[in-house]
Amino acid sequence: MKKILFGFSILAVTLLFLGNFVEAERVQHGSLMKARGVVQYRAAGTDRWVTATERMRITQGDRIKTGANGEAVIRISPRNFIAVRPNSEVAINLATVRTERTNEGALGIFGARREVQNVEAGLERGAAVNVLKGLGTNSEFRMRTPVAVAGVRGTIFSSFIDALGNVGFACSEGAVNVTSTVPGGFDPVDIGPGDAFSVAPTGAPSEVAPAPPTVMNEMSSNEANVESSSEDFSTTTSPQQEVSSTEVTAENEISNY
Amino acid sequence: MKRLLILILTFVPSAQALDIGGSVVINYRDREGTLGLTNNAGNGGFNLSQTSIRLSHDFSDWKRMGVTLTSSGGAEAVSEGWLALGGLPYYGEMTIGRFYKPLGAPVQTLGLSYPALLFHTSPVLGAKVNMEYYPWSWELGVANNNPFSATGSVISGSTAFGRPIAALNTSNKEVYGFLRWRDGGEWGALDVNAGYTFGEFSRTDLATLTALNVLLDSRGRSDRHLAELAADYTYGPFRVFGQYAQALEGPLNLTTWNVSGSYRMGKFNYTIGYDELDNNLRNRPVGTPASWARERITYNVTWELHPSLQLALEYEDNEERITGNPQIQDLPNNAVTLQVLAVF
Repeated sequence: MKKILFGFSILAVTLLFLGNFVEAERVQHGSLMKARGVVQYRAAGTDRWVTATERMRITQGDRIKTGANGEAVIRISPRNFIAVRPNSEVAINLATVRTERTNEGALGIFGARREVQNVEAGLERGAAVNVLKGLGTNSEFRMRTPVAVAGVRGTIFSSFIDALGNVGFACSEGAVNVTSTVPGGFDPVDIGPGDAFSVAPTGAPSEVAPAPPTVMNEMSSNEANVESSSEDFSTTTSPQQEVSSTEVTAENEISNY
Repeated sequence: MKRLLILILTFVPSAQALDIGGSVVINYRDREGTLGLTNNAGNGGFNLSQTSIRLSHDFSDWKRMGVTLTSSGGAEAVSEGWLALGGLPYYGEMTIGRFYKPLGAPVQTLGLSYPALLFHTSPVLGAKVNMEYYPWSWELGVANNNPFSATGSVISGSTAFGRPIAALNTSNKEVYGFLRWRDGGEWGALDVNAGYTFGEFSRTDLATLTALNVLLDSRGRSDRHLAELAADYTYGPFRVFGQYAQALEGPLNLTTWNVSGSYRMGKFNYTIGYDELDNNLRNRPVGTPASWARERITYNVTWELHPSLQLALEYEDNEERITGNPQIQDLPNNAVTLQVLAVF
C-alpha cells in the first residue's frame, strides 16, 4: 500500500507540471445540460434547426431556441450556465478560453494555472437566467441584446426582451455592468443584487430600481434548478441509499439458519 | 469530521457570503419482503426520507469550500465537507475532505432508479485531483473507505456481502481513477466512462473476518479491486444506459450490470430498467453470513412539475436469493415508491 500511495504522490506532483506552458486561445466547448419540452438547436454556419439532445455539444456560433413549453440549460464551462426560458433564443457568439500562468494561487510552490474565459452570448428574444459561479479573475462574460450589453463576472443575473422590444436586466448576486450598443446611448450603468434596469428599443434607459419579486424568485428557482441538475455542485439526495441497522439485523437472522 | 467542519466554517467571513441550497425528499414506500437486500424501513407510510442543506463559499479564484448537512432516518451527518484548491491545468482542482467519488453524488433530477448501480454511493474521506478538457474529464483520488463497514459495499450502496461488522473500524485506504468522455451533436449525445479502484485489507481485518467465519482463510486474497464501465446514449427524447461493474473483495467476486431505457415526453420521463447482482459464493458453511443476489426490473415515471419540484412513481419487480447455505431462492421483494423531491 505504501508503494501505491508513493506512486500516486509522484503522479499527483507530475500532474502539477502538466501544461507548464501558456496555451494559445482556443474555442471552449460547452454542452446542453438540460432540455425540456420543445428545444431546438442550430449549428454554427448552418440555417437548419434540429431537435436538441441533452448533453450535446454547444460551441461558438451555435444557437438554442425554446418553444412555449420549452426550457434549456447550457453549461458553458464548469459552474457557468445559461438557463434559457420558454419562447426564447440564445446564441453563443463567442466562447474561448486560454490558460494563463500566474504566481498567485493556493498551491504555493507551483505557479497556478488559470483558465481565462471570454464568453459572449446573445439574447435574440425571450429571457435567460445566467448562473456564473466559475468565472475567475480576468474572465469575461457578456450578454448582448439588440440595444444593450451586460458585462458580468461571478454573478447571477437575468436578461429579457419583452414583446415590445424593451430589454431588461436584473441581478441576484454579484454585479452587472450594462452599456449601450446604440451610438450615442447612455453611460454605463452598474446594477447590484436586487436591482433591475431596462432599456427601451430606442435606447432610452430607465432608472435602476428594485427588481420585482417575480423576477427575483425566477432567478432563485433557476439557480436551484441548475445546481441540482449539475455534477459541478455536489448534492446529496440518495433515495436508494438507505442502508441501516435493519438490514444488518436481517442478515444476522439469515445466518442463524 | 467535526474538526474539519469547524476548520472550514471558521474561514467563512459571514453568513451572507455563504451560498445556501438543499433539498427535501418525502417518500411513500411499500416493500413486500421483511428480509431483503435493500432497506425495508419506513414501509407503508409517508416519511420524510431525507433533508439536506448545502453550504458553499468561494474564498478566491483558487479556494472554495462546500459542506452538506444531511438528516436521514432520524440521524444527522456531515455527508460532505471539503476544501477545493484550484490552480491546476484544465480547470483542475485538488479537493481534500469528505466527498463523493465520481458518479457517487446523486443528481437529484434523475429518476429514482436511473441509473441504478454505482450512483448513490457513500461519500468518502480523502483527497482527489480532477481535471476537464472537453470532451474528456478525469479524476484520481485516495480515499479512506472501509469495505467491511455496513456502507462500504461498492455496488449500489447495498450490502451484498454480509457485513455485520460495525466494530471493524480500521482505516483501509483505496486508490481510484476515473476517466470520462462525453460529447454530442446532431447525432445524439454519448457519455462513456470507466473507473478502477484498488484497496487492501489490513491483516487485522483478515484475522477478524476469518475468526467470524466471514472469510474461510486469512491467507486468502487481501486485496480489493473494482472495475466499472458505463455508456449512456441520448437521442432526442430517447435514452439508453448500460453499466457493468465487477468487484473482487478478498474471496468474494461480485458482478452487477444494468440496462435501462427512457423516453421523455414534455415534463414526464418514463424509464424501464433491468439489473442483476450476483456473487461467486455458493454453499458456504452453515453459520457463515449469507450473500445476496438479485434480478430486478424497475418501472419509473417522473414528473417535473417545476424545475425545483419533482414527483416520481416507481415499481420494482425484485427477486432476490441467498447464495449461502442453505440457499434460498426466489425471495420476492417487490416495492412501490412514491417520492416528492424539492430543491432550493
